[in-house]
Amino acid sequence: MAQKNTPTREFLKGLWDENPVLRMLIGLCPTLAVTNSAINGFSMGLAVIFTLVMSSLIISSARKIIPKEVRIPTFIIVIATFVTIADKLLAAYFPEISKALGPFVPLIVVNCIILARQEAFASKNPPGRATLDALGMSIGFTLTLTILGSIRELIGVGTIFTIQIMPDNFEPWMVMVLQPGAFITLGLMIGLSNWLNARRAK
Amino acid sequence: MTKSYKLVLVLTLSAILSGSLLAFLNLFTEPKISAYQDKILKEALSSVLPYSDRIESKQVDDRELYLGYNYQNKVNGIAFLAEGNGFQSKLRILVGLDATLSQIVKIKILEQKETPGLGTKIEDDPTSKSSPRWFSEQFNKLIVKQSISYVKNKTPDKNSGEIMAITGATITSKSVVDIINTAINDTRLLVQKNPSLGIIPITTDIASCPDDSNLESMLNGLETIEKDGKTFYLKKNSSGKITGILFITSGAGFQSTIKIWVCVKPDFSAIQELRILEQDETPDWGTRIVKDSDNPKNETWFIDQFSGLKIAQPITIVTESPNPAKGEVMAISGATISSEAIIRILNDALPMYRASYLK
Repeated sequence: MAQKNTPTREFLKGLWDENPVLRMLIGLCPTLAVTNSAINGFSMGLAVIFTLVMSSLIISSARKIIPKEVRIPTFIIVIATFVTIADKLLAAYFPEISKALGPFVPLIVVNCIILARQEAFASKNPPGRATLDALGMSIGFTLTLTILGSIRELIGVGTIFTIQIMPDNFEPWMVMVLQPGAFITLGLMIGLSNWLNARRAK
Repeated sequence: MTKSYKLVLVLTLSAILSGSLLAFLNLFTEPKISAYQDKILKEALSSVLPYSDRIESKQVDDRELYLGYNYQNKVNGIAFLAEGNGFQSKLRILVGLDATLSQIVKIKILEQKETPGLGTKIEDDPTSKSSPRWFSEQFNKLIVKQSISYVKNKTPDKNSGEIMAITGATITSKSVVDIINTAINDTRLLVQKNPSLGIIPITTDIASCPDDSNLESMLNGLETIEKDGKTFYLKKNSSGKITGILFITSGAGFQSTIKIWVCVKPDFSAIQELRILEQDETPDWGTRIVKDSDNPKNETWFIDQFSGLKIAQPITIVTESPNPAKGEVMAISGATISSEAIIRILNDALPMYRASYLK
């Protein structure tokens, strides 16, 4: 990247052009695992927004004192700290959501979106830019997960955010809330985004 | 050298900072988290032991039992956690039993992370609009003198501990059944080893009161004869000799119609067995004719009195030491009208059935 992006661009790139899930295909494990309903995908996204923004802020502020040799362990310590904070806060103040997300909140530690943004961006840019990048990336992640979760919930259960959408005689496709449904829907979404990009490039 | 000192310093510092931050956070969140878990457990306990005024937890050996007490300070229920593996996650279920460990009051699934849309139906089945909790509600009042078993594609029989498995989640349904069975058995052994708890489990099947669907299968295969418009079911031994005569009769109780199933000797000299098929008497009072929770050692003592009772003359009520050879039984204090009703129904029916049958 020769020329610097504008701050707006820094934020917007995570939503589409460099969308972590659809364009960079990272963080797929939680993407596939938690999106059996819209609310699960959305709350997972919120937890990632918190963790990614806080981690990027801290790492980029401390980027000059972290030696290159131990940067990965340091990143992991910082990320793990914020994940634990998010997990504990959820368990203490939003126990219902915490119960629904189960082990996936602690597993944000190994979500490669977060580590990738530290390695590729936050450790090389000032805090302001790093925060915008983190916000864009995590909001892009949240939107993708919410859409993915909504599609699966709509076809698999007939609801979105537990609001009944489908008519009563609709027979839910159970497979959509199971693991295969995640792969099928995500594959179609990635295909669609590739097609749109190809069309735009012409 | 200075370089490697810096590495160690940065890592150590970040670990210390992170550790202290989390320890500090824990001070605030931990009480909230454990308070929430306590609250969940308390709510769950009062839902699985709804008839208890007071619930106490007791550490017995290495297990925690929750004993429910009624207003007279008698144990009237017992609850415990049943834990084990489901299809893909750990299941934690709170089980509430009556004080004889022979019947489930209610169960509550505290924790499960089974397959969404299939296994999760054990807790919540969105495809059943009328009762999304039908699976766990099946355990309400389930007789567990024998182990619980699950059935598919047929109506489960509550009295022999059957429940319906969830289609598409057989393994999860089976796990719930297995986990509860194991926990009930462990608890039975535990209370037998610790008589100081004052709980005496009943495991034999004498008290089970068959409902009509079960009755049908029980009476199936028995030869029936009709006399004067009355139906008699004949119990025969292998050589074809009649060993008992069954009939069903009913009459008014205190507030409901009581339907009784009586088995008498072929010569109508004594009752072999008596069961109450239907009654809707005052809960906790009149219902003691079926199950007297104030007498946990033998909740069915009232009905049991009729086994072997001589019926040459009308049955009479005495206040103490009844003599079955003279046709004497004791009434339940607090349920006198209901007790008397059963005896009146029998005294009315027996001479009529005897006259018709022996004619």
